[in-house]
Amino acid sequence: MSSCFLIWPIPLKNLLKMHMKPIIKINEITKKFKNLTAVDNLTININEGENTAILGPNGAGKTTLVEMIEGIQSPNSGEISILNMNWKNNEKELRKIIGLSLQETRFIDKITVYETMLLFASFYGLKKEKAEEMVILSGLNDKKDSLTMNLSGGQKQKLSLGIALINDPKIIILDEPTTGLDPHARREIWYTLKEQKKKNATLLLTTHYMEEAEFLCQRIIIMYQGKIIADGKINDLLKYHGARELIEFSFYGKKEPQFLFDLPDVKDVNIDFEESKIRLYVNNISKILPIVLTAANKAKFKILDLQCRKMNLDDLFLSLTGKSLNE
Amino acid sequence: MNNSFINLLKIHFLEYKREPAVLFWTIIFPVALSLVLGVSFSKKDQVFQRAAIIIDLDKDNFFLSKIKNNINENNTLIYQSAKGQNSYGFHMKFDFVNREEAFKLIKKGLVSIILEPYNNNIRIFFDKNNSQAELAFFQLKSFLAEKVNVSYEIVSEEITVKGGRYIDFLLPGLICLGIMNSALWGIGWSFIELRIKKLLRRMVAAPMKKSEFLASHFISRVIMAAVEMLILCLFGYFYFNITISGSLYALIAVFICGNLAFSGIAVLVGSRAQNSRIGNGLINAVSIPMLILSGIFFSYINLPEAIHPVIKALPLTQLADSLRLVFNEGANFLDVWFSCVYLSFIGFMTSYFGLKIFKWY
Ligand SMILES: Nc1ncnc2c1ncn2[C@@H]1O[C@H](COP(=O)(O)OP(=O)(O)OP(=O)(O)O)[C@@H](O)[C@H]1O
Ligand SMILES: [Mg+2]
Repeated sequence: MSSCFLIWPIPLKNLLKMHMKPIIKINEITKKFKNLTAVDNLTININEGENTAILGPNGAGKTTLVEMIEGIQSPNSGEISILNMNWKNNEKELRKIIGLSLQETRFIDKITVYETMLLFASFYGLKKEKAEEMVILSGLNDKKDSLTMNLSGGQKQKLSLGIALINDPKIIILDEPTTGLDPHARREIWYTLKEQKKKNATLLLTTHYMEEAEFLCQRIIIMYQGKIIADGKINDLLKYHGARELIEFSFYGKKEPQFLFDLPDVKDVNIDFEESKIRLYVNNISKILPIVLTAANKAKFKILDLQCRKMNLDDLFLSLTGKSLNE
Repeated sequence: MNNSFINLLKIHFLEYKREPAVLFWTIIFPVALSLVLGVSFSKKDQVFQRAAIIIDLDKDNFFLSKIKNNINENNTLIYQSAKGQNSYGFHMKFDFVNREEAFKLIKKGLVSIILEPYNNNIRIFFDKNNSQAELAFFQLKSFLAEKVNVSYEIVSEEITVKGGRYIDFLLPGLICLGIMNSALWGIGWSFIELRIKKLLRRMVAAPMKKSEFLASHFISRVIMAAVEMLILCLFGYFYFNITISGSLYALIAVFICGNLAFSGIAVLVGSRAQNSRIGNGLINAVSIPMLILSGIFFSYINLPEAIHPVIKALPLTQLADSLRLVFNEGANFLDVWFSCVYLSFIGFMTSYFGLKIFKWY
């Protein structure tokens, strides 16, 4: 009787949410470097099994944020708890369940891939067999006995990733795991990660690549100047923004074409004078495009290189900040 | 078994093995240096000879007055034999000291021969195996015959002065230099380099045990410094006939304490620097003043008295002086215990502060 009463008022949506346990809780953390606030009063929860990508332009504070989660940097204020543990009291336990790769790591030059893997395996108390397995898993078997100084950029990233996954971590935190790689190598890393995902890990990564976020993660967090400016599933984010599609074209001249702002049903206008590009964020291209063209004609405004497409994350980011993700 | 400490230690030696240039600079170079300097400064006959004359204040001595008639105001005898085919000359400076002081001087290599007046007779002490001393004896012989007319007796068994040559002074110094450089570069610089590469934070985040990391650095350096010392000693023994006159335990104690001192200093030097220029600068700022002041290549005795206390407080001076005591003056552990305590103290203090401010991330 009483239990019925307790359950009854909870809406279905919340019941589903209860199933998702927050594995990382970040509460009002701030990190300052002198007078620069790299991370500004952030609060996020990351649920178990919820793969999350943090996107943002250079200097947004992504690295600072993930390194605080990794216990490498410490916040000026606020708390981070991981599985109800924190870095102050539970460093040893946390190190065992987290696998990470830093944005930039170089290895000991004169040590081979296998020896490097062996060293890191031994830090976790793992056997030689595990090191061998990870060399194969990271796709470096033919480079097993090469010195790390002779690896290419992509091979180094693969080694970093192999080390991050060596302890079968519950939480994987990767800082730009594929930056600077060619599309093929990038895909290889994605598949390695997908494979690892089957072991029920929670993945948190930072990236500049929208496809990477879309391929690997359900949840997207967009950071800008130390703050979160968007957070959610990709489709939800685009929906929330109000526009689904965009019309993009080039133009001549240095003056703002005023008529664009008077058009009906255009959610947002973005004018980029540097590239001489205009973007109109809309919900229904087929309805609005003719109106735009007519208005341009009337204003004696010349439209060049017209493109219409569905919005992607990069466009979303551009409309939110006026800056490109890859800048 | 895949033991993390053994792996960490192994890495140091793999690096050596794969970078033979390092071996050259740490091992072959000091040997070559001692060969070149030892040969050029030790075997050449010095123009300036120095002798000690033992004076007994109680007695008025005929010999002393005869000597004094022949020397100038700097206590230097300038001798020129009669002109002829085999004519030769030499300068010899005399130190007038008591018996104890005289033997100290000869052990330190500051004089090569001792004259002791003795019942209208003189005793001459010198090491027959020391070519410079032998030369001094022959030079004196003709002077004595010509100008003093005194009979003499050679007493050589009381002293075998090995510590008198430049190489005897240099070789222990080079060992100390090796210990200092091995620690400062092998530990201090290694920390800085790992930090620059962001590898240090990656390893600590892995979770590497910091104690194992530090111990692997210390132990690999001690091993390398020991190998270097061994090679220098063997070389010194076979080429220059240098033997360790003091106790082997004292030698080991001094060696270990020296390594402690410089490892501690290296931890402090490498505790925070995050770029190579600052790292390099710090290491040079620590090592170069000691290299100059501590008397590795040339004794600091000639430097102003006023700064001697400062010089003696430097760990490299303590290390070099006590190692020379063991090598050349037959010191045992009791003679060097203070230096050992002092060096260990420096090692513990510097590593304590170094680790306090250490930047692992
Ligand atoms: N140790 C530091 N000292 C001073 N400023 C720092 C430090 N680390 C980061 N910053 C500053 O904090 C801001 C955020 O840096 P962060 O590395 O977190 O950016 P990011 O989002 O990871 O950028 P990127 O995409 O280029 O990797 C930057 O403006 C950076 O200059
Ligand atoms: Mg970054």
